[in-house]
Amino acid sequence: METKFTVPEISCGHCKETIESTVNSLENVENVNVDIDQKSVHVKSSSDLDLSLVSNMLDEQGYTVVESS
Amino acid sequence: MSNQVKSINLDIDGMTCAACAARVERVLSKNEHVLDASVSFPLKSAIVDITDDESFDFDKIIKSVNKIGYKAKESDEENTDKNIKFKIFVPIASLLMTVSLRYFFEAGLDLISYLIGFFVVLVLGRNFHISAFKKIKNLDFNMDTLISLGSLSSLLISLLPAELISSVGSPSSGNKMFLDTGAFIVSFLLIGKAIEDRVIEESVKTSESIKSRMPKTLIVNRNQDKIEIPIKDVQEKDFFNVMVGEIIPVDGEIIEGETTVDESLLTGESVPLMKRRGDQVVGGSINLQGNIQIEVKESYQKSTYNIIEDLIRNAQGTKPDIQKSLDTITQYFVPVVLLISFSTFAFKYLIQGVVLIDALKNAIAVLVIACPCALGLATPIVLFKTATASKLSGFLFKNFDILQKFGDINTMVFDKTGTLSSGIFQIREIQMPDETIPRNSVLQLIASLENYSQHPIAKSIVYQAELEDLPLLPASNIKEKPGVGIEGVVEKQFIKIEKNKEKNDSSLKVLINDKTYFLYLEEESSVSNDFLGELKEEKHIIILSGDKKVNVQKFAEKQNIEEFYSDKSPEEKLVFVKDIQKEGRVIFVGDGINDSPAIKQADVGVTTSSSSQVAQVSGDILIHRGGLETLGEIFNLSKKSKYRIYQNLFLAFVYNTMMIPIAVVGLITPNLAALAMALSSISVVINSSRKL
Repeated sequence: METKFTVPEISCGHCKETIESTVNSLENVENVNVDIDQKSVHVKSSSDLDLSLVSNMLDEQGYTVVESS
Repeated sequence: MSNQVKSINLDIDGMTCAACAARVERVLSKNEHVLDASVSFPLKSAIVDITDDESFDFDKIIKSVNKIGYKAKESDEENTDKNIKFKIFVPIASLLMTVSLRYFFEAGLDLISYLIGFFVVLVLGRNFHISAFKKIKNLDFNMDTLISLGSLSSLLISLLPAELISSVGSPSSGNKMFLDTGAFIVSFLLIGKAIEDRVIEESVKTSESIKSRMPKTLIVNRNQDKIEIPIKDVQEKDFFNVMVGEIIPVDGEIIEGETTVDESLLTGESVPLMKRRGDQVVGGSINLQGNIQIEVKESYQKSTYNIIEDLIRNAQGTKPDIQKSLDTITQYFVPVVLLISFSTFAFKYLIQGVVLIDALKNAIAVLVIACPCALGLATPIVLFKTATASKLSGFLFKNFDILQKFGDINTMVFDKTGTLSSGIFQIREIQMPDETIPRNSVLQLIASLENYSQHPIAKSIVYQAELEDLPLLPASNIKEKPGVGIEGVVEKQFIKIEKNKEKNDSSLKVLINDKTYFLYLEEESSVSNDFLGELKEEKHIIILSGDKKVNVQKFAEKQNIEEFYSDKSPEEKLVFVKDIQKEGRVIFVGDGINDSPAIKQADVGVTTSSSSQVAQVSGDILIHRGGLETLGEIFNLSKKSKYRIYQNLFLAFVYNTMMIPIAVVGLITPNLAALAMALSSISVVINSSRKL
């Protein structure tokens, strides 16, 4: 499964680190990649990604998740 | 029960950019007790307004910040002076201890030397190692990688048995002195950091002071009750009193009293402005003369002061292009330095056969001298200064991406109505057939009917009548044909207003009871007559207008501009901009509302608008006061700001790079390298904090 979403607040390596480690802590997540320029997050997971959970987790860190089609 | 509103000040450590500050702010704002949180990245602090009741939990606030990877603690304002002294005391103590190392060795007290050395490098320098370690985990490098590596390897070398490292004949205690190299690196950097913090604090403090002077709560009359509420909960139709000397907290209209106000906190202009009943006042201005009562017209969130602060804060999160490319360069630069340092060592030791200890010294000097520490400081302070300076001059950079290219763009496209001209028509003359109706009554009748039309000319006539204190009368049987005219009955007199077809300009033909009157109108210009003429000497100027050809031509002639286009719809303006972009970059200057597509399309969009519209308009640069005459200042400031960043980069980067060869050949000891590096950081910060 591949999921892609946007986090408009991404601005530097610090954000990248935080988001990657946060999303990585989910069990079914295999790989997370944050593109700073595109402000996008690519997630590879073994099963469907629970986007609302991810959204809540990142919300606590001060980020907003914007779903992209 | 009325909850007390209190402000708490927090010190926040670990923020690396303005985006961090924004994150902390978002997390703080989520707490139910927090009314408002404002985090300053340069000051490493936050001001949080809270409602203080029994359920308020201070630790929860601290924890929420710590949870996202920063360190928050309450800053005790009374102790700030002590803090500053402490901040300077630590690096100085560190340096003194480092200097003392040598004497302890000489006195044979090796253990004390080692204890001191380890304390300085590991404990006082811990932040460098922590940051470097975090990066290395992700195979990422930053400046701290070099510092950490330089100081830790010195420490390690000093521990090795002397026989292993010194060749026969060299003094056996030579490697011990590596201890002070590591300690010197850390000490010089700590001193550099303390000076940086101090300079940043000084340069940022003044502009933050406006915020601290804004009241936190307000007593308002709402539905005939008097209640005290936090400023951010102020709503439309609340009204409140402002005494002499107080700051007006939100935008509104004066409903009682008259006074003069000073808007310099927002605009930099300290000329007192007269304000009477019915006049608008802007939040953030100071009430100078009389007590007034103000009715709130829009909520605090839409208040000018709040919007401007928000825009400035968001702009701090954007980076000029050059900073983005630098971030990439740094990522490669650090590993390259590691490689050079290693090669230096290998070449000296293995090929040239230099004593191991000297080869190591060489390699460490390279590591330290090449560290582009000051790089991270090159832009943020300058941008902060730019934002503050622009706010005082009446404009805002909504986005700093454009800072670099702005001054280099040669083509400027101007919208006319609402930008170069005010859109307000003045009545130059009323031509009357006879004197049966006096001029003022003619104007009153026409304005009464025009009051039912939305056309800009109609609005201008109504405005003129209001200026002359002529009351508007009710009209009946009104028929308006868009683009043609309007007719109706006012005071039993039949009136018909239409375009004057014989003259293809802004004059009107008016029939009042079968007698013909002519109104000659002239559009007010927003800029002086030679304004564009001056700009023309440097830039290619085009006027692009939705107005009729006659009007645009007349205007262009007055401004001495040959290239103009008329009758363009917003879509056509967009297409036009796209077309000329094929030949080069374009600045579009418009009012930001009708021509918003063209402004977005242009490489840089400049908008002029009244403060109240700041929120809706698009564009990269907003002029919210002073009109287009401010353009010169914008060019000036963006140029200065850009060069200041370039200077900083030179100080931070080129300087270090040039020193590498000197270090490679062994002309600089590691201790000197550490000193040089600290000096380069300090010079960047001092250069940044100079007045723009």
